[in-house]
Amino acid sequence: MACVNVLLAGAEGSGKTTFLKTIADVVVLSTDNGIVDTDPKAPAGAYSEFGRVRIDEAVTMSVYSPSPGVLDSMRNVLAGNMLGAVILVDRSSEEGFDDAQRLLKMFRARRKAPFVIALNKHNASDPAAEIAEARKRLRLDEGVPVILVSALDRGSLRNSLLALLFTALEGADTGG
Amino acid sequence: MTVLTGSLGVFGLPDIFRLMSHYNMTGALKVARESGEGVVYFREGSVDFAFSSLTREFLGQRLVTAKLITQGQLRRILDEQKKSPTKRTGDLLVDKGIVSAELLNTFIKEQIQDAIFDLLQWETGTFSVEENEVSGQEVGLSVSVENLIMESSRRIEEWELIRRRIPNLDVVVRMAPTPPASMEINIKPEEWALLVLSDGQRTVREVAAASERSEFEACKIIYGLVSTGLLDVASGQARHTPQDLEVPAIEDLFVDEVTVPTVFEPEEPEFVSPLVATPPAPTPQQAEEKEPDFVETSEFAGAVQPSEGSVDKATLMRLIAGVRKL
Repeated sequence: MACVNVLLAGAEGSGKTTFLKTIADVVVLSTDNGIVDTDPKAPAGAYSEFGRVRIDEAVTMSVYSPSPGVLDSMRNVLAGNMLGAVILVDRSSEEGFDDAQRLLKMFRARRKAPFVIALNKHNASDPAAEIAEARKRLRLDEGVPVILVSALDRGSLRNSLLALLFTALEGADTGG
Repeated sequence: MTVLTGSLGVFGLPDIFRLMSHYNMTGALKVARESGEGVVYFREGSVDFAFSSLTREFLGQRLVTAKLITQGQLRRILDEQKKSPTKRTGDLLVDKGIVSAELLNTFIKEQIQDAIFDLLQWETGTFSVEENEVSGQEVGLSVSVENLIMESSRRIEEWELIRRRIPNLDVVVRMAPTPPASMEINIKPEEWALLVLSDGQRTVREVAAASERSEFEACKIIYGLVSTGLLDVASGQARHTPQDLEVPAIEDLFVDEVTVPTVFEPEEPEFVSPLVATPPAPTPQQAEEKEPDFVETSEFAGAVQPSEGSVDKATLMRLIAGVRKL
């Protein structure tokens, strides 16, 4: 069984738990605060979640959503078979973009890691404007996909994963 | 001086442990069988030090496995030890400031306990008791015999239970192909850590090493995860490689001329690819704007560092085909 890891990153309240519950076959939550003992700066009540998506009989996609406080301790774990990251942004709040910028800084520093931006809680009346706004505020390169999603809608989440996969595929094609 | 000899088939080691304890003896209990040997040192009736050739993992290698020292550091220490054979590995590591004395003591004690628990399971072989022979080790356990025997019995029972699901340490554990009935499962952090490591590639032994837990501790946790249906033991020990997988043809992935979907429309999906769409050109003002000075917080500093090319193209194509069916 081949297993590919996807990191689902986002600030608290961005919709990560809903994302996992909507897309995954199995969602596992770890809510014990003991996990943050190794990082005293981690916020109280930090939690980590994990969802598994069965692709076919031989391939499984594991979506990890560690709380920010435990990301560092997950470094070695996630590095193996890592596909890339979906950065979930709460479009409904100003803080959503600020939080996303911090995550982006991390991923920009590691250009080999494909990632996509998934805008949750967006105003769907003008999708093009939403995407343009996000691109501008997050100062995204043109190669970074921005996907409008609803964490409750499986189809939109599937699209975000597809976007990540195609980005990774393009990177594989170009050797980047 | 040898004060007692016999067969483990007649006197079990727990009985001899109790005897040593009852008479507050100081000495070495030596056991041997075809596959190995061991020694347990007693000091005034309490277990002080132990060694088993079957569980012996050199201290330095154990520290490397736990990622507390590097293989290079160990190699240099061992080279130095050749020049000063009387110095022990642990002492050299402490002298060089590579590990603290406290950490070293913790590891030595764990090593002793593992040896004792292994020896207490021996049912065949011979034993002898050498009175007043001491270990000469500075670090000891000083644990009462009854506590050790009780703990050992508990471990043996747990191992028997664990073996029903995890027959040996070289099997590969993976996410169970059939999800448990419950959609949402709460697990403890240590379980989560091992779940994440059980990727269908690592053996139980490798998962334990990567988690920096003892094999017993790791097996207990994995046993729990297998019991709840989250993990299962892969049949045999073969590992899939991406090349083994049947890969869909690239053209099959693009039958709908879909590139990268970016806009979610529940009723009539309409995909606009950011990879092919040209973003609006920046205004001169935008072009002059500097990248904001984001504050690198400790939360994310040095976090996930995916390895380059860790997912090959064949697997990517297979994933695309599968995700599109979700």
